[in-house]
Amino acid sequence: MDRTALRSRAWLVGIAALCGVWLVHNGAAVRTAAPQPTTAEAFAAGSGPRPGTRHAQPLRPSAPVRIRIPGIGVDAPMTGLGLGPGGSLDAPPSGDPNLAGWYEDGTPPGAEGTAIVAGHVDNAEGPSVFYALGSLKKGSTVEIGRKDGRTAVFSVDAVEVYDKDDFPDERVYDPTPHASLRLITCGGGFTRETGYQGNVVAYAHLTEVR
Amino acid sequence: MRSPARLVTGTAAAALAAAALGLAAPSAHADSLGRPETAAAAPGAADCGAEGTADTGMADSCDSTGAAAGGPAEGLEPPDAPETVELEPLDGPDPLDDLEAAEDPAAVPEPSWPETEEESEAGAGDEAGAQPGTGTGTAPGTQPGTHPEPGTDPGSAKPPVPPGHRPTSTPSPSRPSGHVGTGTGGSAAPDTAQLAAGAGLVGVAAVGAALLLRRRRAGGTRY
Repeated sequence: MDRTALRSRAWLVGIAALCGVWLVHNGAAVRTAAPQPTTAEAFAAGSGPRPGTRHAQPLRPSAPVRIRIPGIGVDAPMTGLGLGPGGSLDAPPSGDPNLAGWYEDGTPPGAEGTAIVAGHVDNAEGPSVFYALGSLKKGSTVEIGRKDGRTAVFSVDAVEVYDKDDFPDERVYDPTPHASLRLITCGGGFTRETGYQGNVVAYAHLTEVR
Repeated sequence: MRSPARLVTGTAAAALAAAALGLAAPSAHADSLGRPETAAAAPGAADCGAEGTADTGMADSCDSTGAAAGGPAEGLEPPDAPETVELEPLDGPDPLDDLEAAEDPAAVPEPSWPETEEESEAGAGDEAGAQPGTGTGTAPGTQPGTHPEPGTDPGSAKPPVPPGHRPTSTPSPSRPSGHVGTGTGGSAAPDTAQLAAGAGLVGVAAVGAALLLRRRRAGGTRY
C-alpha cells in the first residue's frame, strides 16, 4: 500500500470518527419529541381567519364539555381553568393525560370573542392530550361539544410556536369580533433545566354549528 | 525511508486531534448557545414552565413576568387605588394628550404644562407605570376608563369589568397573559436513532484506525 492511499484512508477514518462523535453528541441531547408546526402553518399576514373561509353565527355562551380534533385523534373531556399568580393561565391537572381545559372566566367556545383552551403536550409518564397539536394544519377541524347540546365546529387558521419570553399576549388572548378559539400547549425547545421553552398555539374560528 | 510512516502518523494524529476537537467543540457550542438561553429564561419563566417547580419560590418571578408583560396596568394600580375617583375624571383625557405630547412635543395643541405637572405630582406612579410599559397602546385605552373606549384598544373588549375591578390583583381579570405551562417533558427524549448511528460510526472509525495503525507498523518494518 502506498502512502497516498494510507493517507486518504486515515482521513476517511478521521472524518468517520468526527461524524460519529457529532451524531452521538447531538442524539444524546433531550429534545422535544412532539411535532412542531412549520412556518407554512403560520399566519401569512395579520392574525385573523383565513380569507374565503366560512363563518358561522356565534352561539350564546354555554360551557364546553368535550373537545374532538379528528385530524390528530383528540377526543377528551374538558375542565374549567382559572388564572395563576401573575395572571397566566393555569394548566389542567397533568395527572390525567386525556383532559383539556378552558378558561372559564372568559369566552366559552362558540360564543363571540376568543375562547382559550389549553392542554398538556405531555406529563411525566409520556404524551398527553395535545401532544400532536403542532401537527395541525390550516383547515383542520376542531369540534367542541357544549353543555347546551350544540357542537361548535372550528376551522384552524394558523398554528404557531412562540418562545415563552416572547409570547404575543394580544394576538393570542385578545377578543375578536367573531367566535374564535385558541388551543395552547407546550412546545418549542426542551431542556432538562428549564422545561419547554415556549408554547404551540393553534388559532381557529367558528365555521359551523351542529 | 521513514517519511511515509511519519506522514501517516501525522495524518492519524491530525485526525485524532480533529476528533478530539470535535468532541470538545460541540459541547462548547452547546454551552454557549444553551446557557444564556436558560439564564435568560430563568427569571421569567422557568417557574411557570415545569409544573414541578411552579409552586416553590417561583411565584414571585411569575409575578414579575406578569408585571413585565402586563406592565402598565399593574404599575398603575397601587398609586391609583386610593384616589381613583378623583383622578379619573381629571386625568381621563389627559394621559392620551401627554402621551402624544411625549411622542411629538412640537404638536401639543393645548398648554399642557400644568397638566404634566399635575401628573408628575399627583400621578407619579401613573406616569411611571404608563411610560416604561411595553403595551402602552393598551394602557391608555383601558386606564382612563370611560373615555377612549370606543377607540382602538383591544384590551377594552371586556369593558364592563376592568374599570370597577381594577384594584384587584391581575392586570385584566378576564384575560390571561403570558405562556402556559402545559408540559413536563415526559415525552421529550434523546434521539435514539441518531445515538445508534453515531455510535456505529465511531465504532467503524475505531476499527479502521486500528487497521491503519497495524498496516502502518507493518509498513514501517518493511521499509
